[in-house]
Amino acid sequence: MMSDPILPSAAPAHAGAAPQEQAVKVRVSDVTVSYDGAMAIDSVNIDIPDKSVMAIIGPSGCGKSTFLRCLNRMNDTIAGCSVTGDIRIDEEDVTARNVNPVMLRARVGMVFQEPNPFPKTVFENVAYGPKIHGLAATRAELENIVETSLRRAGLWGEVKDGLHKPGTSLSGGQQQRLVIARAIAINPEIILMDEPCSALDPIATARIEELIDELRQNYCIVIVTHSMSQAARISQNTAFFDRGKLIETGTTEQIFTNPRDRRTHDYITGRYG
Amino acid sequence: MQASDLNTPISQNPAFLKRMKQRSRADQRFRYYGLLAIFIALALLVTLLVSITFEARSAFTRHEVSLDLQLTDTDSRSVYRSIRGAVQNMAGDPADRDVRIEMSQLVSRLAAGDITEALQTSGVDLSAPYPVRVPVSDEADRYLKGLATPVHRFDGRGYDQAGARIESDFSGAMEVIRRWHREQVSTIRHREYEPALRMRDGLARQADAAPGDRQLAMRLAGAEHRVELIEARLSDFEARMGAESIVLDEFTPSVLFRSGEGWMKGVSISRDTMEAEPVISGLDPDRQRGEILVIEQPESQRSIPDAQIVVLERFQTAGRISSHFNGALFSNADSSDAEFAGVLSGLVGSIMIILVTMGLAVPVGIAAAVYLEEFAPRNRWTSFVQVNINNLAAIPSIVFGLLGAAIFVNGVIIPIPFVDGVFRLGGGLGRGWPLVGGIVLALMTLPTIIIASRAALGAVPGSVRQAALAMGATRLQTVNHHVLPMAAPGILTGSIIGLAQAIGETAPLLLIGMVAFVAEMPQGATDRATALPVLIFQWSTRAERAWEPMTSAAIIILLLVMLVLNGLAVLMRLRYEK
Repeated sequence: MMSDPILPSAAPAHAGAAPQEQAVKVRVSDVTVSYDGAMAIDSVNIDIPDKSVMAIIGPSGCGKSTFLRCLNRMNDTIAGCSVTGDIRIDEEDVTARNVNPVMLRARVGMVFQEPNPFPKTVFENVAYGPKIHGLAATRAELENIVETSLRRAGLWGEVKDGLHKPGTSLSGGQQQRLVIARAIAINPEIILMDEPCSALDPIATARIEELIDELRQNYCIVIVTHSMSQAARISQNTAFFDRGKLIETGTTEQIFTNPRDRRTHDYITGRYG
Repeated sequence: MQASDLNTPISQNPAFLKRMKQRSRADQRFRYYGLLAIFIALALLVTLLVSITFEARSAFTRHEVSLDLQLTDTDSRSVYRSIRGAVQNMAGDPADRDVRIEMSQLVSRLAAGDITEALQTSGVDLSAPYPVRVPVSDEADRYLKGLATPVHRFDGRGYDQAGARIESDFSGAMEVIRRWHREQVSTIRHREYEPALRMRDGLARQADAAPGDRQLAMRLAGAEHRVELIEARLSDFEARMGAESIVLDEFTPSVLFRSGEGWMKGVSISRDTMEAEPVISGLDPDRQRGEILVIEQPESQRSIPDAQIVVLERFQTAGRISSHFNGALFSNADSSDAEFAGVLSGLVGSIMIILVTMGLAVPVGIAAAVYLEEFAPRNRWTSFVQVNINNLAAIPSIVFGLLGAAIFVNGVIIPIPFVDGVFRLGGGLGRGWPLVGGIVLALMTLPTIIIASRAALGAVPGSVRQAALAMGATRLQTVNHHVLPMAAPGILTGSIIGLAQAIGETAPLLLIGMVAFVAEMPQGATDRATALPVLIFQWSTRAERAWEPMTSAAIIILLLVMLVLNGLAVLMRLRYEK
């Protein structure tokens, strides 16, 4: 697989279509992150367009996840982690001290590598965000939000009869879609996904990929993935990280067919290292 | 074939096969060790429970005597006089004042209290006899339960009496008395004579080696004298044992003879004759009924005198003694008389203490654990706090008692320099208050709860916190909605363990003044009280033998309280884990 570069011709037709020019949703300038003084990512500059999927690829330990966590300031919760630089969402600085990370995280949803539903019912999982943010005034509204979110996550048909079963009793793929439903239930602007399919089988993966492609219509999605084929299939833009540095960014088509940097070329053709 | 030969498949490598066998054997062995350990632990537990239950069983019943009181008044003194009168009446109104007092001690003065209360609430016709049932004294109770002394009964029908001389078949009684003498002789030989001999011989050898040592000679003379004394006692016993007739006194078993309403007490006895003195007159004139009682334990070695035994036996013959469940054990406060003592005051005190402890230690402990685990930054200061909490958990509880006494009860006296005065820091709370006990035990329990709660919080997977935070929950919401509910079973278990430990704690309570004898039920948390473990401690130090089963019974009740508490914990845990 790794020795066979994934060319756009092999990718599904929709992803291969030339991305429309989208407004920049997130502007990252000069972001540097270090853990207890050890540099994790170094002076990253990148623009992430709205209503499209940006894939982050790169070898293990290159700082992909760290970069992702900068965008919703989850790095703040890690002791010893320091972030410098400037991140703007809709031209608004979100790294500033006076920006409440709770506010930011309501706008930027996140899906983790391991499905992590709360040990509560399916309904409560999806309803949690609307509840804590006060988005539903009545029970009917809440039920409506839950149903809509589960429908958008393509899970409604499978769980509508078991809304009060524990979320942890679902299969891995269902759990991951439940987590996505939970994230979109508060209608965020950006969704971060940290290798969302790495714990899933190919069928569940395909289901999630379809879902991501649908969600692209409404959200700005940033996804970290180890699968080059996945990046090629679902993303419009790709960024390649190596050893804490952003090596190259561009449209997915350009990165996979005509990488400018030698290292990018080696990585996508499997000759890396 | 060499073990290191890489060309041999592993399944044919002899070194591997040999090692495999060793490893399987080690596995097996380890399993047996584990089973053995569990078996030993269970066996010890069962032994403990069985022995305590066995020891305690006699405390759960008590004997009561039915009396018909001739009341003169309804106050406690008059009622007690009536009780004494009824007992002495049954004893045939002996002329000897000492015997009268001995006999009337069959019922405790405290019995009058309960009757007085009943009288004052119901009102009664003083002219008619008033029937009551009162508990007999603890020693009488032990006698009736067969715990005070072995009693041997022989048939004495068809006896002959001439004044103080009774002729009957006393061979059974003689056999018992001779056996008792033999046992005494053998005990004296073993416990006194042989050690004395060894001592004398040792000294004699030393004296031979050092002929001039006067001090040694004196000690030898003393040892020789002691051997002679014991020999004299032994020969006295043997002479009495072999004699045709044995003299009976307070240092030998007692022999009582009853017939009809009358009782005689033996002074000397042979196979067919007993010289006796009357205890209660009125031997059956037609001599059809007669019974010989040998009370094996000499009167000087037991707490119940022969006179009381006679009265008890008469009550029993009259069908006035009955055995009942000892409800007082559960419904009474502590008392100086074992037959009236109960654990209720201790139970109430313990419950008050534990409520105070729970109210203080559980919320503070959980809050501290949540702060340290979820909010506090990891730095030198917090690790200092953590180390000290762990150290606090290892401090002996008696130290907490000292601390509590110093700070809450006595206060710390600080002299003010240059001015003739002192400043008292703290203090002002009373000795033996459940409030103080609760505070002290809360201090003692806090580290346990904090450590257990921190462990439970730490065991909640980080992914749950991340999920909640990423949803935009605040840290407080993350903790309250997700982390605490998931940690609740562990926190609950830790808290219950801490509280159970606190319930069984004695030393700190003694130090804050819960040592006194408190016979009243505590009315509140600021009233002198006692606690269950303190009660157990106090009862175990009381001299009368009747307190032994009472102590065991109180231990069983304390264990039951613990069992209920732990059962509750399991139930709550199961509900939370759903």
